Amino acid sequence: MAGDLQALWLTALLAGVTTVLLAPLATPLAWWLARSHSPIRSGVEALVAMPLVLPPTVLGFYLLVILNPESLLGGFWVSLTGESLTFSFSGLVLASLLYSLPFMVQPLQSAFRAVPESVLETAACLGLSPRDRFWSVVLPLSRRGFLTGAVLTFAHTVGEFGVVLMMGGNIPGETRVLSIAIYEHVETLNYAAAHTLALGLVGFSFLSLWLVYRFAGGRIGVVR
Amino acid sequence: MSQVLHISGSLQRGDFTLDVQLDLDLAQPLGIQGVTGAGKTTLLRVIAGLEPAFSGTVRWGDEIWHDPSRGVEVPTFRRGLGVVMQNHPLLPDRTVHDSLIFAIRRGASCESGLSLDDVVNGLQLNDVQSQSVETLSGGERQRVALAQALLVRPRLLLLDEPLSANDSSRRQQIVERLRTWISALGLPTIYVSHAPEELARLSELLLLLESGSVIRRGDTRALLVKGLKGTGVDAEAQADVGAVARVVRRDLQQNTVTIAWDTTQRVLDIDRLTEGSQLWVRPANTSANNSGPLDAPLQPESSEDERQPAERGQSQRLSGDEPNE
Repeated sequence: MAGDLQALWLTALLAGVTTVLLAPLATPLAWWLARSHSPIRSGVEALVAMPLVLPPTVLGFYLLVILNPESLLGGFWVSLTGESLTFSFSGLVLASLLYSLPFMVQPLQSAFRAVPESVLETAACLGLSPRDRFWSVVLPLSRRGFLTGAVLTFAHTVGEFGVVLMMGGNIPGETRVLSIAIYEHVETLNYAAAHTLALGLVGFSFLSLWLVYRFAGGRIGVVR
Repeated sequence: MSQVLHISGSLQRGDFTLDVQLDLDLAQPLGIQGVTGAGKTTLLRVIAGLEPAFSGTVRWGDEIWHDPSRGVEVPTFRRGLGVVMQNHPLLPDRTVHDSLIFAIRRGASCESGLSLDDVVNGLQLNDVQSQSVETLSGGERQRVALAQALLVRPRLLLLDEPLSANDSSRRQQIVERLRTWISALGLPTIYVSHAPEELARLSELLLLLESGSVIRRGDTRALLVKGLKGTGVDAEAQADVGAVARVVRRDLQQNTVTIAWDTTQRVLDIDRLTEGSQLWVRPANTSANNSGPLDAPLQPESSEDERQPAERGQSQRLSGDEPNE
């Protein structure tokens, strides 16, 4: 039971950190995708959407290959922080950022696209610099996009399983998140404990989606 | 500093081409008139820097604002403009008061200019100050946009039909106020309008645009009459700016046409007019002056017949109570 509480806390922490980091990272990307006419845009759009269709095990497998301490990137991280990116919490955060990227980018992208060009022109004519335009006009108009993106990212990260299993394993307090804990309970035939966690997640998922539909007008904007 | 605005070049937009060669001395307010689709708004957008595809140059005094051949593009927000565009909404989620304060904060930091109170009173925005911009009527929205354009302390004021949604008596009052402000501040102004009486009050010089080109240019009052008549300048008419009459009914049995302006209706011979034709009328008993109150109906923005040059040739001036049959 104490292990399950720890898993709950770890899951919430992972989802929270991922959401908080992903919002500012995804914002410029979503803005560029919403406004650019660049020929490489559709390519970038496809890349961003990849985690939606790839089996999480594929993503997890490549992350394991790229980030393990023997690899170039993983080795660099170890020499920098003394910590491995595989089988560690920071590795999970990195994986979650990639895994949940479309869930943050797509709602933001549709919110930004919905800001009429004429409003931006009005702002420019009032003397607002592009940065000022973004903070004073675009952000307030995109509140719902941010709410949707944050809730979906959080919820989706909570539901992460395949990626974690591949590159995180099952280390209590480090990588043992709720979905892994449920899997383990089932493996050990402890159905009662599995039920408690699983039902909790069902309730949580419903609540998050309800929140999005209730307060963001149902415009989720994620293609799945 | 010199107040000459130089615009030369062209902009292709589907089958419409704006093609201009202009050096505009804006020491005097400039009016622009033309039928719908003539390119008035596009020209203003080029000046404002909202048409980066314009191939040519835009210069304000000795500042180069737009010159692709030299890779120069001064962005809109650095041009020091006050702009009212027809299709520009107000920035959302603000009260009128907040919108005006917002404009003042974003404006140039120079001291000269109009105070918030001046503008609020002059544009009759007292009653709506605490309202959210979303709840305003079309006319109120236009006045808030105009107030913002003035409060940013612009170096150049670009106004595209800024009062078209306001009723005629309010329009007159605001035009007078605007005229006072523009001359008191020496504010270079370009005023686009369909309404001859507004142009006559606010501008000294007038450009007439047609199909993306300037077809006439000169003294506003002379041009207004000449332009609408489509014939030579009438010496008497030059000094006066009257009203635009519209054809309201054709009677094929009687071979007559009923035209109306202000509260007056007249019946004319049908051969002279077709539906939608425009006429230029002025009261016979008013001496030729342009300082009196003007109370003319506006030409609607989208009169189909305005697009047809043949119709304009048939427009004519009538001397008030005795239709010039």
